[in-house]
Amino acid sequence: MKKLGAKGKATLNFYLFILPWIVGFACFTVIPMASSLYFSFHNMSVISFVSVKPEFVAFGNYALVFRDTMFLRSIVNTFYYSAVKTVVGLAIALLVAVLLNHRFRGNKVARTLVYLPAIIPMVAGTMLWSQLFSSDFSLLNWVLSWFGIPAVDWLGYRNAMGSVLLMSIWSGIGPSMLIFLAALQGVPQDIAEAARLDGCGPVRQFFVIVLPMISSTLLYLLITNLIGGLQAFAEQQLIIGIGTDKSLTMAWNVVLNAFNLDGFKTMGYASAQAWILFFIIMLFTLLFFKLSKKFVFYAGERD
Amino acid sequence: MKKCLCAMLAFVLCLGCFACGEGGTRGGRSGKTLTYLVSSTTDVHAVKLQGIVDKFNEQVKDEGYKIEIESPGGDYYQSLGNLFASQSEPDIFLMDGGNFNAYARLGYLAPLDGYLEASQALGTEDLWDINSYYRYDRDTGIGSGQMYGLIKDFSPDFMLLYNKTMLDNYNKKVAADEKIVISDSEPLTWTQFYRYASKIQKEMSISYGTSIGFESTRHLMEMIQQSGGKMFESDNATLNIGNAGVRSAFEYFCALQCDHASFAAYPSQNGGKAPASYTTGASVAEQQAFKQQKMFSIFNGLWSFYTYDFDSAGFEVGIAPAPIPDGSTEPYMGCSGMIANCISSRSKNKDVAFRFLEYYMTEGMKELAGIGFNIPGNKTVASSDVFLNPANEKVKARNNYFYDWVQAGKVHPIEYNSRISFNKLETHLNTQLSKYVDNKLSFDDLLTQLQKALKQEITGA
Repeated sequence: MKKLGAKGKATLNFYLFILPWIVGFACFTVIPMASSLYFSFHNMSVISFVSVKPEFVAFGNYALVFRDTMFLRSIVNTFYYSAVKTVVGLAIALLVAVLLNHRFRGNKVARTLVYLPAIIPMVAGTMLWSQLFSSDFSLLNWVLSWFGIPAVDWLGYRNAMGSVLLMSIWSGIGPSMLIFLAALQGVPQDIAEAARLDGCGPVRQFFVIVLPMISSTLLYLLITNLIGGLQAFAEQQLIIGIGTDKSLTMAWNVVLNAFNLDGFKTMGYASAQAWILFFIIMLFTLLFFKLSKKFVFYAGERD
Repeated sequence: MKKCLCAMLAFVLCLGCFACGEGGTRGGRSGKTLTYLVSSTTDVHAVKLQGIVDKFNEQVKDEGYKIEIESPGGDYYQSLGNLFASQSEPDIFLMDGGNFNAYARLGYLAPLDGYLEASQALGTEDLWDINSYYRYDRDTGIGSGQMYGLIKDFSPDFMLLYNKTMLDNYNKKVAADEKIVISDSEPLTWTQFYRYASKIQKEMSISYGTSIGFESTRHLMEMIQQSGGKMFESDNATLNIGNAGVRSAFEYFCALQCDHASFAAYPSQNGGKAPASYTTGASVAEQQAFKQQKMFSIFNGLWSFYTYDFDSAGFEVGIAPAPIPDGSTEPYMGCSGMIANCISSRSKNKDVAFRFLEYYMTEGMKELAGIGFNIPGNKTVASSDVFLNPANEKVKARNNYFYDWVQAGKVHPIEYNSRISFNKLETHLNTQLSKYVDNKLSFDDLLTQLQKALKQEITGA
């Protein structure tokens, strides 16, 4: 057997060291994705494919997806949810981070309190918010009544998605705030000092110096929050229960179809929906990376 | 060294992935341990069930067999589907009416007729007529053909449970011609019930006259069946809104829940407030609200007395048959539970699995009947003193009351459409109903939009 040269040995070592990751990636990502792709071209339910040869329908499931008004509506719901959660959530997190970046008594306690909602398990959090949102024994409505505001049907048709957003933003502020705080503390003080000496006010300083300096962190949080929002499902299902065309998200719709046993909108159809969801998320991620070249500053980047 | 470690780690990972799974009789593999998948292992009923399993295991110990109870956690039927998909399904499992068609159609259920004929302890004569729901034939569908499930217990699930003490207090307050009488043998009509629930809600200053919160979609299906109509036309794809009975069922359903509903048959009795406007996100379950006397009535089955301990409510709970459409005379009660035990067709120990079910449905059922949870699925046991003559007088009265209705043939299974899953039906109904409650749709538009959405869901057109 021909002996490997230095380069060959280095390559072999490389693959050997990443072999555990390759195996895990193959078992838990590649194989399920390939299976899902196969399912998406067939008409089959979660329990039928072990006993009945799946019926090949080519792009039939994909065509059906674009005729499914409930799914099309769920795309709109998901983008609405994701956009509002990302923009509002990050704005509040950034504001809180800026405030907590100053030294004051109780600063550490304040940071802990802001982060606390993030460590509450989601199920416990939804139970808590269910109490707040309940239509007849709602704490929130009781507070609103102090100001003469009539009771709100928090989980009614119109408001359900907004209520879930409130809950999601509340629980998401902590982690984002922490990452922003770290980024803010990395902003060189000498630039801010120089700007101050030149008569630059704090607000202008923030937009002209601080924001560009933390833009890479902002991009990272934007992408992760957006992708997380586009995959939202558990919070909606736990709080709302039975969805409507105004509250169903894409992922929820996929799950609803995946475990169907009757009809033809079953696992195959859900797989087609999942692949469309994948491509939508991929598109947005690529768009963000393209835009990042224009708007993001990397400290180590060469000109 | 590090390379060796990485290679070993990768090998162990591969081994772990492919070695996942269990032995025993799962997925039709051989072994003498049978798995019985149940929905919960923690409530009192489940503890009693473990006792029954232990006694059966004692009987078959010398043959080397053993039944093990497992509970998947999470959604039972999703987990069951996953187990079938991964070919590691249990030998014995629960089945409900909504999922039965799919499993029977795919041949996953073992037929039980041969076992019932050969059995000395359990035969078809020991089963209620309602058990015929778990018959299936490839050509004719549900209700005929071979038997695939044995109902473990059931109850008419939408019986009218009301606060009798509150009713008596109401009758003391009002004039003679305003008094309300609720018979325990003659059902109220829909208009009567609507009127009474609204009046009591107003007069007694309580939050709700009633609630449709428990299985509201199945409750609507019961109303449609009561009206004599079919929910879908003969194509099983078009919502049958042209049928007068179906339409009247939707009117009643909406009138009960929607404050702005306006129907000639259901004029508002309470300043525009519907008796059951108990819709989204109530933090207190309706049963708790009923016990706290915030609600005059609810619709539940025999099991609810045991589960929610209504005997400790502090007031007398009256029971009446479910209200029926105006113009009807025959009581009609829907049964949405009626969970059955089934055996996997791929089980290598079907004989032992049936012997367990035979034991469960006979000796086991006598023990379960004693706790007064629900009507036993074994008619012979249900007709015996164990169920009809327990020590507790309240339980005895209730058991006999529910038994008499079943014996009279007035309890009927909820009928499902095999072309659409119940979850999807519920989602579409909830969507349109929410818009209607929010005043975004008129009643006619609600029906038309729902018909359109369901047709698209079922046919894809």
